[in-house]
Amino acid sequence: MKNNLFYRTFKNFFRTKSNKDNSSKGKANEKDRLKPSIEDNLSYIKSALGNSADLSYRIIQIGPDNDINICVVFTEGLVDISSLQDLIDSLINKLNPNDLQPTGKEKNLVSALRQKAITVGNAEEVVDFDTLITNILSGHAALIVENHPYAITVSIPGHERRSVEEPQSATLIKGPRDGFTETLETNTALLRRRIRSANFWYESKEIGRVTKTKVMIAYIKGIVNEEVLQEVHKRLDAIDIDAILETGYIEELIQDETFSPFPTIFSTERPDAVAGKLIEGRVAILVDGSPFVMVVLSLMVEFFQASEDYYQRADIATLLRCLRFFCFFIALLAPSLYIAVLTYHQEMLPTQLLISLAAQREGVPFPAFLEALMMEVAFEILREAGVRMPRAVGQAMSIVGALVLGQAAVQAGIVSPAMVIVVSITAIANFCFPAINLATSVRIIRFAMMSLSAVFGLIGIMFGIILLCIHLCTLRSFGIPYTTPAAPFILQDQKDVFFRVPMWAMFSRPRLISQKNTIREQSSPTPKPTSQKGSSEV
Amino acid sequence: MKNCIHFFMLFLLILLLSGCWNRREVNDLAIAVALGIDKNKDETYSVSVQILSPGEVASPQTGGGVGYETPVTTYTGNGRIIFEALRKLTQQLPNKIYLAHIRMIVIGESVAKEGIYKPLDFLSRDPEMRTDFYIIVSKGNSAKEILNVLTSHEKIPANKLFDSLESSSEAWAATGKVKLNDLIDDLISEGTQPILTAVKIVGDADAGKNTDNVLTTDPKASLSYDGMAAFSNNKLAGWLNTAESKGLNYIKGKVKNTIIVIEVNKEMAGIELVDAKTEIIPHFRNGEPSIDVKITGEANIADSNSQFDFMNEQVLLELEQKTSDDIKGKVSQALDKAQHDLKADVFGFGEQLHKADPKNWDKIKANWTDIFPNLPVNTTVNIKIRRAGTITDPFHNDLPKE
Repeated sequence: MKNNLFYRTFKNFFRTKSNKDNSSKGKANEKDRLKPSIEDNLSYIKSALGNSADLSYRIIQIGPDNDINICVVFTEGLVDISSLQDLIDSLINKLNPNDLQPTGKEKNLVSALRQKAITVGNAEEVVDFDTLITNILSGHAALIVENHPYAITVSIPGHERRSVEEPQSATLIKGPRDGFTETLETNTALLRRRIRSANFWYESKEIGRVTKTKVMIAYIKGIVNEEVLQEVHKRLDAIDIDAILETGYIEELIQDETFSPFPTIFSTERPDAVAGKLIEGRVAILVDGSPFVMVVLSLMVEFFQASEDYYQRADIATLLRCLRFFCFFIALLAPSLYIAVLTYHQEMLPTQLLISLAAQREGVPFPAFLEALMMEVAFEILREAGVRMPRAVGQAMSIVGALVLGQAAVQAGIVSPAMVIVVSITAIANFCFPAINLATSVRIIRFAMMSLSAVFGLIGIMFGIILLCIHLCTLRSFGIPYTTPAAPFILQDQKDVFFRVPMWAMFSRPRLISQKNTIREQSSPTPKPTSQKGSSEV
Repeated sequence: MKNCIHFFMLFLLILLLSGCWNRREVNDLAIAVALGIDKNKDETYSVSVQILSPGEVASPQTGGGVGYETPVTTYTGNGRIIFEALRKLTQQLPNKIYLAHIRMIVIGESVAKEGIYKPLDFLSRDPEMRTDFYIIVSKGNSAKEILNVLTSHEKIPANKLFDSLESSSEAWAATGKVKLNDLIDDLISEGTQPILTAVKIVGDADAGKNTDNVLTTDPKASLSYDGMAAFSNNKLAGWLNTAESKGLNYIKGKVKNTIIVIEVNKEMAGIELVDAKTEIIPHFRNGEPSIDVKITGEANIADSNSQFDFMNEQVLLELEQKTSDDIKGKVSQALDKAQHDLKADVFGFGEQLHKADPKNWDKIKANWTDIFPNLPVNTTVNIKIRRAGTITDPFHNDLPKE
């Protein structure tokens, strides 16, 4: 493997990244301790932050004789102003002189202050600049006391945050409307409100040398697959990158297979979906600043499961599930089948259909493949523009798209009406999946399938499908085969694949995921009408 | 890298899988819907192909029906064999002829008289053919003339022939749907002779070529099925008329639904036979073959122009008897024609005897053509009238007396 040309050519491309930025890391390790003088400390902080304009400080005098100088340092916009006022108020006006006397337990004035005087937030004592600056930058107010080489940092975060809204990427008719936001604390609370178990644990990590992004791992102790949990820890700890700005960064760094169109990590904006997956024994990864939460150990079938499936009755959920699998094949194969049948296998069509298709294609100057490719590319352009464009021009877009691409192209004789139908049904079927990740992978493969069918007809399509199956069978998500429970066939887990069985029949968790504590329900009621026959005793 | 090479080699392997395979756009096909085979005086075949023009056939919404040309055009080519004649046609046509959508094959009377197996080889050998077409014989006209007639209602004459054959064999039972495989089976079988439905032009054959023929409520030329053609040793042995064709279909058990008109005291009643079943019981008695044909079925009263009292059991029994007699009559007409006139076992009695008693069949099969004309056939018919439609007594009974 290492001898081949490809590897040697791109070795440098892959390697250079890890050698940089080590200098800053070394500096962070040596811990400068705080100095007794406020001026010294302040100037150190200022110089460390490059005199950053969003750093604010004020010096207050407290104590019975107003003789204790305290410098309050905080970052503007990151702290809650009213909490800050309370903090300063409690120090200046409501201070009990006794609080300043260190008694037996407290070593000094600072400890006494921390334990007795400060009424808001989570206060901690800090002795080195490194921690101090990190805390200041993450929404703490730092209190630096004159003549003491200690500081207190009080956590009073209060930055601007978006309220909890309905997720844009996954909507449903029946079910909860709340979605994750960009704030980590809100997201953890949304999950905690759903799972009030003492066994529901969060573990916190900090990833990103520059951004120092807070990342949380959530799981339910006792249900979670410990091996997967360890693997998540291992992979997250191995990440060495300057910045994590969105879940996607981590997804690409920890996923099992990069060169695959299929997503092996599920991410969603819906707290109910995440809670459901946690209950099944999966691990959630929350990243501060992203409304998307990743859930690892994702199987292919999950991308067909909408959370609404579990909120509606089992029969309609089953039908919709089957419809989605059907749509998967339409979105994947409709244009390629059309090309194959129209250019190689005309004998497979009923005569009337062939006549009508031939009549439509009379005068179309392009081969069916080129026609399909044009329409597909045009649709992709339309869709990409639809996502990126400013909302104000939306209407103009849709008129141009519908008229020019649909009607005018047909009337001009450039594409046949049947092709417009095929491309439209493909496009619509592509939006049937609850997870947009799968839709994108289908989009990519569709073009490959079209090329195969243009060159080899149905044989090419079969070849493509076989390759696809082989590829899917090699995929793993955190060690578990991606196609479970179909490819390692697990009979018990079929209850949530093509069928969504009634809740009373979902008595066990997916086998390969949790692997222990798999019982969901011991005995569930399957209600029946009471056996009394309209007796008069009621 | 190794994987890439493996993948590429795997990819190359599909090239070997392709088989009969060719890329062509659907609008570059000359879609043939019917084939007519005639024989010229100089022993060459004249092959007529009905090619459709999709733009004329499709509905106007999709840009069809402009009226620039006729929905179908018939091209004719000559050749010593069918294949040669067809390939010669590329000189006249813009594209190569696409045979997969053939609906009908019309065998000209001239070919039928000469022997039909020669042209059939190409039809069953060509991989492009779908072999779900029907084969018919033209009667009185050449196959080319049949294919030249434009039809109303169904823009494609071949489809008209196809649908008409299906519906008439369902509801009238004097025609037979014969596909290529059935025909070849009958041809090679020792105990059966093939039969094909006959088609003729009603009216002026030349007038049928013009679109004027479909721009009128009373077409000057139209295509109609007319009995059947019986073959013997793959040559045309003779024609069966409608009654004989029905009789033949009764014996072969191919009657699904037909009507029978019976006359009692100069009064008529129409009986719709709905569920006829035929059982052929072959016997060898002392090495002498004989056949029992048992026909049972149910019928409805469909029409009556008389004062039958359908509530009277005796009347119904009489109608049942008359119906059975009518069927028996048609069966014996068919038997008479086949045994004494054509001397061709179009019923497949020999096949039945073969299945029933192969050893005895071996003894007589060499002389079968001589034995068949004198084969004793006993026909018993038992028809039950079950329903009388939505009224019971004819309302004629209540008409004021004149």
